[in-house]
Amino acid sequence: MCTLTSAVAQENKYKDIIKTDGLKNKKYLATISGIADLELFKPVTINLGMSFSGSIRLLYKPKLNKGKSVYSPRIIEREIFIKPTFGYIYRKRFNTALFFIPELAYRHTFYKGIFLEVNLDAGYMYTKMNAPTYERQDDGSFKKIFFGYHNVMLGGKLVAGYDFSKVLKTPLALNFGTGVLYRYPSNQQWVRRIYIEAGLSYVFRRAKE
Amino acid sequence: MCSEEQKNKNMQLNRIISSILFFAVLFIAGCSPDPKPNGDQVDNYYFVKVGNVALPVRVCGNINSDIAIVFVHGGPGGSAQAERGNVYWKEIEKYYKVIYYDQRGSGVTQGNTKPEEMSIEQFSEDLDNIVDFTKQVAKANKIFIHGASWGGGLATYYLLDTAHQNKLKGAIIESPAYDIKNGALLSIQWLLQKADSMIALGKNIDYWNNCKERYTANPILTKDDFKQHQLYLTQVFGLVANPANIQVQTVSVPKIEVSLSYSNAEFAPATLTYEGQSIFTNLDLTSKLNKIALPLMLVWGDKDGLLPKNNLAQKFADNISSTDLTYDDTKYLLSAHLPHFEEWQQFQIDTKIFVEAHK
Repeated sequence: MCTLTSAVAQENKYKDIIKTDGLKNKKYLATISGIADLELFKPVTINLGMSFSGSIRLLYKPKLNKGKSVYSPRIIEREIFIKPTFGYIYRKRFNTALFFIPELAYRHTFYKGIFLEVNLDAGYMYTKMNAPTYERQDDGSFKKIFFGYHNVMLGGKLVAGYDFSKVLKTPLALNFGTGVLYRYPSNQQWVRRIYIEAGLSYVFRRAKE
Repeated sequence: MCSEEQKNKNMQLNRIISSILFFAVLFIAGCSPDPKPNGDQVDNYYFVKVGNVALPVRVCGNINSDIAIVFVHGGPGGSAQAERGNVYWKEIEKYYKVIYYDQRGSGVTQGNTKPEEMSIEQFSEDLDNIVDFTKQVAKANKIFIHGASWGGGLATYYLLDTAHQNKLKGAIIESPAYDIKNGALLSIQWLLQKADSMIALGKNIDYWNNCKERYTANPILTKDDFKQHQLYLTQVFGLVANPANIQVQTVSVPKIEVSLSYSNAEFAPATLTYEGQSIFTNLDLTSKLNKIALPLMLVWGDKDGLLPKNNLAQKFADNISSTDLTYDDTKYLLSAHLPHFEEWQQFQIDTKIFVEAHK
């Protein structure tokens, strides 16, 4: 009994002495993503776009799980990010949607670097007409104009990926996800879009003192 | 150890290069231009802004032609964007320009149309914009309009204004919804006769009895019943009677939001008005048809169940004041509601003869 108590004390002692690497850090991400906006009814169409976002961590709550040894704990990262995102989706002969969304994301990164993320989106979308647009003037002539619509957008997406910076120390992460967004108004109604995206992030991770 | 590090670095580099290439391909594909049409054909796409609405307009056909046919689609709430797939237009486009446009709150038209803007009066103003646009931007001085079904009703309303008639060389009016108020009653009668036939043949007896009971309880066709009514008609070939002759070709269409076209297909019939009341219970232009004096070709399918030819076709022909009416009620005997789909060969011939005679 006495021997067991001393052994536990010894383990705790070493844990205190050897600081767990990667437990406390600052983390920011810069992400570029390709978007494929899908219409699943026949004929299936795919409309491409891109988005650019930065991730600023608001909350961080790591969780230490036991590894094979007390000296190699498994760190699970639980984070909430705010992600200012700019992007566009191009629809030939229809519109180009330019959007800005301050996304709110919860990311759960497993100890090996695989992560899952849930995003809630609420933002602004401008849909610019994708063909020459004309308007009849008072004198009856037609004038070419720049025209588009202002929309509110709401949506969400599920993302999975791999963060190379967690284990391999490479400051990159890959992510793949799918989401849905709604824009308003169109004849006083919401219009839905479904999309998939694939992205590459540069991860700025710096250990805290 | 050193070579292991080098190997890892190379792998990282490969990953980065692959990712950059992936995004570059996505970007380039997203920006690819529309293919140019061949030879003497034009295929240009525009929007015409009227108020806060951007009407999509596609200008196709013979680039050298001074003649344009403006197609006014049906529905209400339909679209002209896939209309070009009908093989009828392939022949017409060889000779003339064809203008395919979507109406306000319909098809793939974008914008936030208010319900109070969904009136035949406003739709007529929109059509006038398209006619002027055709003259000035599509560079066609001799303009014909071709209105089918609801589009025929809208075209008829447009023609009630002499100033509008003066902008046109002629009109092709196909199964026009100019008198929905009485046409709907005739359509219900037509359907009930078909329901009796189905019951007599012992086909889906319960179903057709239910259909009859529905119309006994609700003898007036409203906007809420329109979808179900069309469903019944489809089953007894009241909309399309000659499907074997329909030929459709693949055409490119705008990369639309499909959910928008579905919501517009519901929105337009639910909100469209004439003199402030629903078109389904109020639209009857019979007493005003005498204002129409331009050359006109009237086409009506003999087996039409939605707007039955009996009464409606002859009433239209009798009431317009045009001295140049082309109408032969012995033609289009195989067609139901849309002869230019069902008997497109005959329709092509008749259109060319009519246009050439009045250009």
